[in-house]
Amino acid sequence: MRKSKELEMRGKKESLYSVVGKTVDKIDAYDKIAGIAKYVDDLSFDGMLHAKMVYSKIPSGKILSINKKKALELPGVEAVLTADDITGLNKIGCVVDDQPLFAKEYVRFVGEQIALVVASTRRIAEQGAELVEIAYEQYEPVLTVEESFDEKKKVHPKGNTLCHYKVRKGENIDDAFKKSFKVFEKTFTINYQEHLYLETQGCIGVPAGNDGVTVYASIQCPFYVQGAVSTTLGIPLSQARVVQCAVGGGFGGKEDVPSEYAAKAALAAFILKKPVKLILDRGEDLMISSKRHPMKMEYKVGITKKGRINALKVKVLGDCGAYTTMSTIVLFRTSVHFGGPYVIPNVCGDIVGLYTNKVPCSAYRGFGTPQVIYAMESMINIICNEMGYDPFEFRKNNAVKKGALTVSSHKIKESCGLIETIDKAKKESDYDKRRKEFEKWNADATRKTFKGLGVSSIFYGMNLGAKGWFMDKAGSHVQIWKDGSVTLCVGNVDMGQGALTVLAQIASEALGCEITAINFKNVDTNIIPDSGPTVASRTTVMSGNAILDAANKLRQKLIAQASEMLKIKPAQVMAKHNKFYNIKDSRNAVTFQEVVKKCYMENIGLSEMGFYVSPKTDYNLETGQGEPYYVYSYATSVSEVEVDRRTGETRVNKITSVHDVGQVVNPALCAAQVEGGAAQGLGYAIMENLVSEKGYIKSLGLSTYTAPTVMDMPEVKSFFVEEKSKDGPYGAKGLGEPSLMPIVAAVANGISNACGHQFGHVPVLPEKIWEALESKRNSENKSEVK
Amino acid sequence: MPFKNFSEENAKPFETVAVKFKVNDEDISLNVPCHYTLLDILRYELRLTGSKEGCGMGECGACTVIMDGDIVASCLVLCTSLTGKKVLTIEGIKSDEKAKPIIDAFIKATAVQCGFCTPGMVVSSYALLKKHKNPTNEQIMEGLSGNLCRCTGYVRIVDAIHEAAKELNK
Amino acid sequence: MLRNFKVLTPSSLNETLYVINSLKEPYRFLCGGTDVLVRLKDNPNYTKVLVDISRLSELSKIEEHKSTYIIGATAKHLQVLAYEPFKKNYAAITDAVSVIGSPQIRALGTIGGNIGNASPAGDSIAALMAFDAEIETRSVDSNRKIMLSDFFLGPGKTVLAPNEIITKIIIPKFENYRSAWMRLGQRKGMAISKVSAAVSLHYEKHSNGSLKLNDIKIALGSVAPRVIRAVKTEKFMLLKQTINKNMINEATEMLLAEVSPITDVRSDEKYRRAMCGELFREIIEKLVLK
Repeated sequence: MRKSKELEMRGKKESLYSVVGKTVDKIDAYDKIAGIAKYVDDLSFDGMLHAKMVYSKIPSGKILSINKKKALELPGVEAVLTADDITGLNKIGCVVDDQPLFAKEYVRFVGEQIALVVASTRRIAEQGAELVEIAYEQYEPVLTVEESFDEKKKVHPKGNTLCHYKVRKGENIDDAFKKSFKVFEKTFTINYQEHLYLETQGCIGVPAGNDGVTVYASIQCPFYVQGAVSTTLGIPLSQARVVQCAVGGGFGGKEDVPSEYAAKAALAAFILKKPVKLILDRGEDLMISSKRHPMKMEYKVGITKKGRINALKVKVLGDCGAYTTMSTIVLFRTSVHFGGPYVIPNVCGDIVGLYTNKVPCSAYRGFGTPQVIYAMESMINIICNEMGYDPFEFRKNNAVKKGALTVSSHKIKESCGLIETIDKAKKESDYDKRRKEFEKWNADATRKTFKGLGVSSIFYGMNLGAKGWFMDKAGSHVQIWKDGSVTLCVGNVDMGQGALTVLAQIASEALGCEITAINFKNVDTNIIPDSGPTVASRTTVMSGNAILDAANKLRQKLIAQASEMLKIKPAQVMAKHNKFYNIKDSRNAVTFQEVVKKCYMENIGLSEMGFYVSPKTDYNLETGQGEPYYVYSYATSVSEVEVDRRTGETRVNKITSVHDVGQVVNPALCAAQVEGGAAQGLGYAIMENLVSEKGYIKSLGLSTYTAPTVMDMPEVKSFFVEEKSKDGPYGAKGLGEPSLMPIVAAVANGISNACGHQFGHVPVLPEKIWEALESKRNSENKSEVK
Repeated sequence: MPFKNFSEENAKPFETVAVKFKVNDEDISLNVPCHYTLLDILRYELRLTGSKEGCGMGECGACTVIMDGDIVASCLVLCTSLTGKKVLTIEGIKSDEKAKPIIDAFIKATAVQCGFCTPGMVVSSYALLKKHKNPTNEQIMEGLSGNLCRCTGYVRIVDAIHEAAKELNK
Repeated sequence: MLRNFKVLTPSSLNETLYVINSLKEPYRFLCGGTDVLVRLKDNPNYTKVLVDISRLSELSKIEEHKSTYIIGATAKHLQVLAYEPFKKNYAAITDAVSVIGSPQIRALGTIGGNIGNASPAGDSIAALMAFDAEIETRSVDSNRKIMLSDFFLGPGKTVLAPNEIITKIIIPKFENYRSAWMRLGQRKGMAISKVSAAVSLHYEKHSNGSLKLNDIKIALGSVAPRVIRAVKTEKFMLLKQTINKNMINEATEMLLAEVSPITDVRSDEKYRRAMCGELFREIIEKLVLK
């Protein structure tokens, strides 16, 4: 791994903005480096108690009895709460009402929560949890999607299919395939991925007066938690307050899941009238928290003689686990993205979500798309290899662009840099030259490895989409103090991606002040109205626009004041770098602080709320046609991998990624996202293998679920294309998820090309690679012998 | 927000032991339950919350501190092993003038994302740069091989250490 | 979380021997803590008593004697890595110890602990075994020397009596031996070995270019319930003496027949068996054919 390279587009548009588009130091960096930033377990309250959850030890069954006696007798245990103690409703499902806060009658996965032991110390709580005795009647669990699809055994009485999205486009698909020049078919499978945020889940419930509770937590969505606390405690939303602590990583794992733990801690605090802290240890977190959906994906692709995809038939079975959580929305995204960013006239897609008696799967960076990207991009790899097509030319030939229709028949009207990303990825990865070198290398029998290149292109709908519009809003509060310092508060969370810094840049640009004047308050439901979850790569757009809404109101007031002070018309006032000056004569200037002070003395209020609503679009769920999202980000990635011929071990040597994210607000933060996404993507592709047997997860530690260390990292080169989006702040789109999405496919294709064998399962483990290479060697030997 | 020392007055039947050691050059003398680890003492007795628990099993590096000159997993050091030891945590290191180039480099290189692994990374980097004035890439990777990061992909952390080494050698 | 145990801290080896002899309940030694504390956090019933030997300085030194090197049982992995004579002549040992866990683990963990933990994947064990290492143990009424290759009974089980402690690891001095240790893990850093192999050998090159094998010791990890010496393969190779491609191929076949790997959360039986052979081959190539 060599030194990282800085962003390509430096210097190109620096004159356009003063802060936006520049690399600015992260505003929260020092506190995190020095260990000052407070994560939830760093907090402590007077009289605080500690809680531990009691889990189901079986994957499916009926609860016959819960015996709390021994636990309650343990000195230090203050309470053992179960479903009967819930003061509100026993429901925690985020989208569908199928999940209880505490299991009462049935348990449906190993790790489902049945009780909460609250004690004076964490150790006593843990000991107490072991003393709660639960008797079960065990049922035969449903363990695979095939079993679930069969419906012979049920996870829920209403049936095992929790959603079925259809895409029906063009003519009858079998007729369309008859017209194809060639048809390719393959079935792919992909395993779980675990978020493995370095900070495990945790929360503290603190009583607020007699009727309320405040929750401090490591979360991506304070408003979900607020709703869950209100519902399960039976208190109004105005009495449920949620404050976000520093978040040690989320990646989607802290979107809806924290509500399950926060509601329990809040309930305990509400009942016992004492603060209650609930922190999961790593083993618990690995066992019970949500994961990425494993999928079985059947793909059939037809191409014309000219190399255009004319027909696509896809059936996806998604393993959702025991409860819906966010699966309906995850699989909605799957149903929009399964065909890739390509123009395909005839499409038949069936995306089915199935219950199983295993850990419920939910949101994870990419949200149902990395799996189908892997499948579709593998199909393209197969097609290109068999037909001798250049992988970039083929993708370009089929790529969406302005005026073209996506798989959903969404006519792209703006902001589409896909083809540029394909061209640039080919150039910057030096693909043609490397490919020739690798061909030589692989043909050389004295070499110990095979080398391969893999390509993948993606698109990704920004924000919550047509069906999530009712939630797709964001608020902000911008306050300028009389000394010129500024406080911002938004409803979206910085979990490391740099949201605070990017938003500060946007505010600084709009207000004309220095970025060093800006401070952030923690996300607090007392300050900001419901701003939806920090997901879907929506923060820059949603909170950015909400800040612009407030900041622009303030800017008008400041400019009006400055124009009076400078004795010029408002239209002549320029605000930049802490100065308000005459655009025609910059010597005629006043400082930001002077303008602010004047406003204060004139009783002009400099505190504004902002609000932004995502553009509304239409989509037909019956046919899967319409405008599922208002705009898309695009990317193309190229991997260079090396496979040991004898052991099957893979080394990813280089990742080149080109992203169209609209306006780049902070180049270094964007590059950092791509680097982090490369790590998570390659981890999923080659080494993160969550082993689950009979419903029991066996990978319960960091040495069995192995994520990349520094020694596993490749060189990562990132480049950006800026096809601005008219609805984004300064034209920005989103990058949080696209930075990971193409990588699994690119690495899997690289391995497949190195070995001359298309692998149909992720993670592509050495054991499987070795098997394929051995098999090839044996058949080659046989043919030699002949 | 109010803070209070977390301690186990109500905890029976755990035995307590007397522990005498140094943390960030300060003499510490405590009576703690015998099952406390160094990490427990730092976080809950001394309220030095910069060292984090990411796994509790010595597999993530978030709890890294320097003990008698070497980086160790503080979640696996039982309190009874601490007598006479000298421990350096992020709170002590951050004010050391030799640490300033490291801190500056981490900021300039955009090497911090969620920040949970960061104190451990800085401690490991500090120890590394004491041992190797001009570390090679291999030495840096070996030095950080016990610190997991899920956000950054490590790229900028390695860059930061190269930069800090340059600065320290001026 | 850690709970449910008491810690005894004897202040000398003799006191330790006395204490473990009089304890009526089962106990575990605590030194580096990198195995014992992990097991305790996983299972609070793993032990109710810890005997802390981390401060016994008489057990922590590495010394050179006339015909042996002696590693004290509580010597840390870092100490072993820093010991100059090992760097030069015992490459397999430094190969193995340098990848145990992580730097944070190597500064705490001990060689005696790695052996006492008796994992079939124990990294230092195979390397030590490939040098005919001996274990010295003591109790109030005994003082034994046991070959490391005879020390293990199965995963987590050794021949130690309830009142016995490992005090020394004794490594004979070897002249002009070449050695190496290699392993496969799930990733490049912080990995538990899927399969590992250690070889030490002595050979000579004749004027006509042929290679004559004088001595060879092969130890394998993660392919049996305990770390083993591939005795049959060693015998075979010493009988053949001349090292060439054919001999190596035949030796590899023998090796594969001597192992009994399993399928578990990290890897499968077929792969481990095959890789055992690949590692062996690669080590021989590295030591002899280069």
